[in-house]
Amino acid sequence: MANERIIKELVSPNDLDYFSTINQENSWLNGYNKESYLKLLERPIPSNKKEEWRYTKISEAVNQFFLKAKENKTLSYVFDKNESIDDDIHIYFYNGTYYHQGELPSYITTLKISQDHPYFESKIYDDNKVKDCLINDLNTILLSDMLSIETKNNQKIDKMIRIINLSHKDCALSPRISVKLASNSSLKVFEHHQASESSVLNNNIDIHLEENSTLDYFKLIDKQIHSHDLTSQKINIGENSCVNLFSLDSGADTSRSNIDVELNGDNSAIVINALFTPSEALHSGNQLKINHNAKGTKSSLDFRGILDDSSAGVFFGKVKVHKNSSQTIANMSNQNLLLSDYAKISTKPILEIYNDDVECSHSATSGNLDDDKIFYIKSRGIDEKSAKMFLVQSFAAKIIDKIKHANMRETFNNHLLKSLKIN
Amino acid sequence: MSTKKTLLSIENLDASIGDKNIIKNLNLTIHYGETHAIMGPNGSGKSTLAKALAGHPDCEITKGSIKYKDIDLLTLPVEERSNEGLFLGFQYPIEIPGLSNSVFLKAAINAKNKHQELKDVSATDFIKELKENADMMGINQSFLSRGVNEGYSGGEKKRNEILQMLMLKPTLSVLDETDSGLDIDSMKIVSKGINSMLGANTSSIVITHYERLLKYIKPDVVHVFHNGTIIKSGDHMLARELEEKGYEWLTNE
Amino acid sequence: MDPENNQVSNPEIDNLIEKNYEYGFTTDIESETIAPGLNEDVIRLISKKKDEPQFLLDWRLKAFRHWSKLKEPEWGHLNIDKINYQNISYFSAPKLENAPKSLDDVDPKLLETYEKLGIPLHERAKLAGVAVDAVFDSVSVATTFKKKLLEAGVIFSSFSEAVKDHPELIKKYLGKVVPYRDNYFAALNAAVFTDGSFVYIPKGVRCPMELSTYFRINEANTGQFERTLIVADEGSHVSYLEGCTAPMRDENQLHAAVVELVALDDAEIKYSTVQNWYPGDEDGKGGIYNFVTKRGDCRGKNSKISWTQIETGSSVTWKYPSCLLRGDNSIGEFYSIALSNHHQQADTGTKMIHLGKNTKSKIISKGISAKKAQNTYRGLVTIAKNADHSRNYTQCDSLLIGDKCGAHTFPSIGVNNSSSILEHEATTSKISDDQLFYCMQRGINEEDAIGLIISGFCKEVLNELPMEFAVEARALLQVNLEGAVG
Repeated sequence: MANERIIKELVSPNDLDYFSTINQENSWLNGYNKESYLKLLERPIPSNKKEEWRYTKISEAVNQFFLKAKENKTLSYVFDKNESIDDDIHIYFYNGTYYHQGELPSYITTLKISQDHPYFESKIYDDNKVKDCLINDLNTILLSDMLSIETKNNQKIDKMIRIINLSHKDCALSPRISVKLASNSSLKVFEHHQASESSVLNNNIDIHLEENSTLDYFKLIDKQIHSHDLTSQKINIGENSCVNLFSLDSGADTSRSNIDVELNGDNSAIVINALFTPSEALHSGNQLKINHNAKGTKSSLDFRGILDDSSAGVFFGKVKVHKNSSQTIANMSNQNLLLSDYAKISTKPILEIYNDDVECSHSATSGNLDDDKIFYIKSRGIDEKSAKMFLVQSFAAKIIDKIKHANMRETFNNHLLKSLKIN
Repeated sequence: MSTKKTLLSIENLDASIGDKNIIKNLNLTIHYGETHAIMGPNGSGKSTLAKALAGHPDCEITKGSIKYKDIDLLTLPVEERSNEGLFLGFQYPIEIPGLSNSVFLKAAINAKNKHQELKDVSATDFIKELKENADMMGINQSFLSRGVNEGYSGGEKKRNEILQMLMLKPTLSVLDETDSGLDIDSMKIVSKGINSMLGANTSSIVITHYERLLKYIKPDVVHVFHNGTIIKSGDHMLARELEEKGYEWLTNE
Repeated sequence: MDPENNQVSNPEIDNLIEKNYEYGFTTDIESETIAPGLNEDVIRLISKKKDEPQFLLDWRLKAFRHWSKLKEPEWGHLNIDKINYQNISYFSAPKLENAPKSLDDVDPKLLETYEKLGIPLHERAKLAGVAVDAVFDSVSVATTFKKKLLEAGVIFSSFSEAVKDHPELIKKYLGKVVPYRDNYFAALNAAVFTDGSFVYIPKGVRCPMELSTYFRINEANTGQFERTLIVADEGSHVSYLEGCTAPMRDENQLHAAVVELVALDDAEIKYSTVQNWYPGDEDGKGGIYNFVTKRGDCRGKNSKISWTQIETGSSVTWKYPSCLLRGDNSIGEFYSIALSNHHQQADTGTKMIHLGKNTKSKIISKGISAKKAQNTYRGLVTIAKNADHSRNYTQCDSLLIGDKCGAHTFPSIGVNNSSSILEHEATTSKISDDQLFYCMQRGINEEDAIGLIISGFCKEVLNELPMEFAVEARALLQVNLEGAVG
């Protein structure tokens, strides 16, 4: 495309110099592999004429990403002494660095890019050669630290690993997480983006499961004003393994979550339950691509949007069942509540099926709260605002109630209530 | 007994589903006009016998023979067994969305008529008979234009099975747990339907877990099934005994 | 005469025009086919042959100039050979020397073809009171029941006749629903369309009979570019059915029709299609390319447009009958069965654009794929900001027969109005072994059992067809699935 811009055009040469000075020791930038780095800058920014980027103001997000990156402050994170310490493991990502108190267990490591770890060369650059990975590219360009969680065979970890991405005003964050589960292991991760105004987060999560393993992944994104939140999550699931993903996104100026799942092992499964609750003029974009590549694989996607004010929600789900993937079960659902006359939803639940031995369904709905139900509740003496709140909560409960972990259920519920404002 | 004509004769039958051998060396003879009850605990192979008789593709006959009306039943494809008058009342009747009951039944009757080199049933005769039988089975007219078993309750499905049986007028009906999941009223209706079918030229195999159905349908012979074969046979008193004592006194032997 | 025509330089075309002058269009033509190729001269020639008014020629030329600038669409889920538009002959007329004066005079071979497809044309016409405007190739050759329709004030004629007899209506409505700028094939059609049907139902008239047209593609290498325009004036009602058949053929043929429907206040149009063109052989050789643009404009308040289609033919189908719901309380419906077998590819669906208040749309789509066929539903539902209290219900179900076929659904939904309600459901399933066993236990053989299960699967759509066509459609589904199992 002639009018497609490349990343470099959005960054001034001065800024590029600047980026290389903020990470002085960064051999990735200064050393042998500068060429690879420069190649990343040649990657195209998809125009919004492209189906997948139609509703995402990506150039603005990219623009802001570099502007903020330039303004990044070199503050360190200071732990709050009064912070309640529970049994969970807390890891904070702040200004490009992962922080934690005390020793980390052996299955968690933080890798510094300055350490010249072979991981960066092989994994990050090579992986990025795949197409359509703008979010990955951007992440790599500003990459500093990465977090790696790797279980051993038969290792079942009960502690919740809490990863908190902290953004302060006018910052750009590029966290990168790699989660690997060896056979017959289990793990629980809770990732929370605690946002403040005017920040850009570019989040990259790679998940890989060997056979017979289970990962529960909880993701919470605070409401963000004048901010952009771009996340790419790549999930690869082996035989008899399962990933359960819960997320709650309260929207940003641009909020874009790409989840790519490869169900590679027989009987592997992905279950995603998500709420998106943008209000004001915020946006929440969800893109899912699920590939059923093996026998007996299951995918279950349940996305619910609660859209208020002049917010906009997008759901783009593509489930593909390949030829050899017999006995596949795939269900995809996107239901939406439009609470305001100015809210908008665009939804595309796509099924591509190349095998007859499947049970697939998708559904999508959009509507406002049912007046009859509001009337019914009011007739029992409850005011309108509470009545509406009940109904919105009952709509969201279909997702929240699926969280088995009691603490998480409460956390999600609290955040949901905070993110809703009912008029 | 010996003067009666034989309708079905099963000899030394072994049948398996998947790799699992379920029916083991089964012998059973049924004469015209007889009703046989087959009782036994869950997993004893009762339903597999029903499948073997109807020719279910999952069920593989590994040994023995089944003679029906002096024909080698095992050589007949599923639909020809039906056209020869063998009816299976399914334990779990299948839903066929959108295909109306009456269209389905008419197709089945015409298939049978064709087999017997008869003309297609006339629309008026068909509807008249269907209405009568539906009334007997307590099935509302509106059901007849609904999809086959689509969205029916368990009891409705079972009554619909009996309705189909009444319409198809089989020589041998094999009723697989037709009583399961029925309340007492439905049970009476279903029994009435079954009894109305019985006569000198028809026979039936009633597969059931409980004795209660046999209060309404009097079997000539009661068989106890265990481990894929008949371990005891008797008259209807055997059923009473089983109800009181359970199966253990037999299976523990 | 149009002076511009004097610029024609191709001697062959010159020659044809000469002939045209000499003998006049309607009486002389033996079997006329313009040499393959497309340029402005060809368009002038078509227009001239049809003795068209200047406005129509101007419109064709504008469309052609626009088309020349367009790039052929990319095919997404379709896998087709490139079409050489210069290899197509853009005009072909049957030998009118033997033209039938009535249906009895129609070539018995043609009637035999209809017979095979279960369409005893003359019988049905008499029995069912159906008026038949049979289009063989590009020019209409038989029209019946015209008188009865005329008494009711209904205009039902070939497009060419309508251009001559009612130029004011054509000028008023042509290209208003599907502008030539709409898409590649709409532009091509506007430039080169040769004939089709025109229907006008005056105010308050309920059309006294089912209107029906049978299309058939006749000569090799002849593109078919029909254009149909139906206008239902205030408070009128019409039901129109087209059925399409085609004989065996080796080369792919292009068919790019345009259908425009306009429903004014309180008017209702029901448009049904049974499409059974040659789908190519078992190896995917031959068959028709069917790229159609069909759109209905619910212009008036309380108007209703309902599309029903049974698509069993063509090697490639690309078709999205749509409704623009502009009038308040207007209703759009789309009922579709698309069956693809062997190497067929069907990419079909609808667009429902809700603009008026209280507008309603309903989409029921049933896709069946067997063997190596690919079946795609592509649908767009948009509820605009001011379309208060609108409703959409979409159900799209796919049925797969065999493990080499594909079923795909690409719905696109945009809701910009909070008082509107939208529901979309889709399922994909196969004919289960349990269902087959159940039917067979009741004595029904496998092929019939599949036929029954399929017609059950399609019931909601078959119910929308006029009775006699529903029977035909059921037969069509089963005939087209022969050999699909096993």
